[in-house]
Amino acid sequence: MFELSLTEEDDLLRKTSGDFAESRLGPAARDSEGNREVAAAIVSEYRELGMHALELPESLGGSGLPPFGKALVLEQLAGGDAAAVLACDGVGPAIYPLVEMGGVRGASLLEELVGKADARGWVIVDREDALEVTADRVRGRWPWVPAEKLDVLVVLKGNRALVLREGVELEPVKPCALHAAGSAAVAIDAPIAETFESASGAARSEARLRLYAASLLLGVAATSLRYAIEYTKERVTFGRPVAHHQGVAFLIADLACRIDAARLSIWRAAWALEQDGDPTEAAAAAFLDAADTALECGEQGVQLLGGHGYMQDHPVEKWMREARTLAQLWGGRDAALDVLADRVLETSGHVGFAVPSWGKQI
Amino acid sequence: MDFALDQKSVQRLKLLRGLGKELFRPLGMEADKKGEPIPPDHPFFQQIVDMGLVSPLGPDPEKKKSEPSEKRSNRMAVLFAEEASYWDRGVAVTMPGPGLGGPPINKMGTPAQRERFMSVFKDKKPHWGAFAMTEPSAGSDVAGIKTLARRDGNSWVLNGAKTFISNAKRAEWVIVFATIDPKLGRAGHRAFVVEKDTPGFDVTRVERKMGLKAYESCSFVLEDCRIPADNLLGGEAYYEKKAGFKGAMSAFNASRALVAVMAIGVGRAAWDHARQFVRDNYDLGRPIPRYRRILERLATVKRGLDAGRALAWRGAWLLDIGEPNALEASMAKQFCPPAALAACSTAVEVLADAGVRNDELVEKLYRDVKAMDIVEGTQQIQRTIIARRLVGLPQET
Repeated sequence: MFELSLTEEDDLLRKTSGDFAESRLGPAARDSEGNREVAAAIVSEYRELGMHALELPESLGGSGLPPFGKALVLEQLAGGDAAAVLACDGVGPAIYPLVEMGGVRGASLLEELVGKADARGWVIVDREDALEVTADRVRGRWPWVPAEKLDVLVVLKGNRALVLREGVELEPVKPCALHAAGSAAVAIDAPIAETFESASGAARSEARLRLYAASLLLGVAATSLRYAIEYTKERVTFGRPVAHHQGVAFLIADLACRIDAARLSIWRAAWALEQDGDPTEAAAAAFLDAADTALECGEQGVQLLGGHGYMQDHPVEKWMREARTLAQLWGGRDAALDVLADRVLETSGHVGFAVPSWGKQI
Repeated sequence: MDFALDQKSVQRLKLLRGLGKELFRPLGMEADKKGEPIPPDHPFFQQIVDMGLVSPLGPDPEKKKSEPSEKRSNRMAVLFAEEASYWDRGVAVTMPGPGLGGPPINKMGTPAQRERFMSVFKDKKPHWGAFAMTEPSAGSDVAGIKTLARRDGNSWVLNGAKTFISNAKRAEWVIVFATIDPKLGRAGHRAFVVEKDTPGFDVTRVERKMGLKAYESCSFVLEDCRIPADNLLGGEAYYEKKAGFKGAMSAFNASRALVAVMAIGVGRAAWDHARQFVRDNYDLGRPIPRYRRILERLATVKRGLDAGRALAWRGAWLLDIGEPNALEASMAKQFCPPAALAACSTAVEVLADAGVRNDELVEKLYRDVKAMDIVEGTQQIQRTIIARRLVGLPQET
């Protein structure tokens, strides 16, 4: 029978990461945004807590945590500062294709990267063939990644993971949000250091990327709503707390339901990733549930604070921008919808391929 | 029934379009990058004045109130407001003129007051007016304002604080709504004209906003701010009819349709940008999965923007023919900003990873447009107003 309770270990993970987010990441978030980096002391504490190595195998000094535990932690940390998570998470999501597709070579590469204290990694999912790939090189431009330094860039293209270690130029650009993680446009003219190929590995990698983004989005959504609830309980209009007006109370209730539903959707996807089956559908659904919820909570968080919400004195405007930015990751809602539609309709390939090109007609 | 625009209006819009492309858009982007408002001595403002484009809701003392010229009609105002906001809503707000202070002066002011406070705009130099209702603890609940007005001989003495007031720092005068006694509720409301440099009137900060950086949103305090009795807008007689609150509300009835259509302008800019992006980047000679969905979403966004514009036009048209428009103005204000926000959010998604870059217009529009759902009454307060009028929702709900 299904069982939805958390273990003591899960509770401890949530509490530890939640406390760190509340006491360290959150209070520093505006400074981190302004400075476009996370203070060295916070990075150091993040690492001391082992937050950057939760999914690394124990043989590499990590905790070997399964996807569910990581999802729990990411939600909590993003409630403090999602940008700081991306900045502090080391190789970050690049671990997924290396682990899921790389086999021995991937593990060796990971070991090398983990040896560098400040190594950063990122993954580009090139679903629309924006990059030119030859037998030994990748060329092209990518408009944005949340980093200003990369030690490894993995390009996921169909069933292949192309690992790039050099020839990747990052030009800083100002982003909508996540400033502390860094932000750059990427010019690529890179030799392919490694090529890994695996259909199931690629699917699992994409699913784990979506779970990663979904967990961050959920954290942003939940913290925005928590903040707005406290505010609306205190601020009085028309002789009563704002939260006690039905129009506002019902909105808050709706958002709370959506957050719980998105959280359970994420948990289901994490569970699916820990099983033998294909996690694609559950992960795509989790991303969509989290993205839609975060976009709504971000925008309504500002709305619930009224004019004050639009000002940078409160963090809700930052969370609105963060939700919009995180929801773009790895193809965003469009890519997730495509994947989900493929699975739901049991089509092989992309459901849109039956539609003729219409680019010049609108 | 005629939705067509006359040739004169089309020509005026064409002029504004040229100005928007050449000046509004670049100035708005520059202000956003700097994170600072356009300074009042920027040559752009003199250029605007020289071209005779000062605030379309400005005064026209030669015309009777009941006979607004076509150029100064509310219908022309919504057309201008949308087009100006299309190019940059922040720059549009920072345009010289009486701004949101214009409608209360024109509607509530005595002929002498209209002459006195509007004449400053005749000297062919950039000047601004401002409208101050919002307080730190009273936003949509405009009836809950706490700024206190006390009569003292031939003066009024004001004490209180206002916040999020557009252009207050550079304004020649600010229309300040205050109460003579909070216990009187709406009957205690009065509107005053507080002139620049009046002792006790102190702009304490320019707010740091998520977007709309081109204009300044100010907080100011009134500390024993003494103004002449003549600065009570409309004079004592006006308030014997208990019309103070109604005066403010009638000003909102004019401005809500304007703010609504400004949102449509921002949304249309995002829609156009996304459409062009698709044309430029996605005709690769082969179908791509998200093409179909983009098509459907751009079409849905366009429907929302077009429907919203029609609601705003109705609100303005009713005012021009002298009919009540409180319900219709609220409908426009409730409908348009969410439609525009959806347009901007969709545009960010259509641009994919490029959409979150600050050098892309749509990223800025997404931040700018959210304010439109808050200023001049949130969508929540608009729903309340609409529900009261449609189904008799009690006042206290």
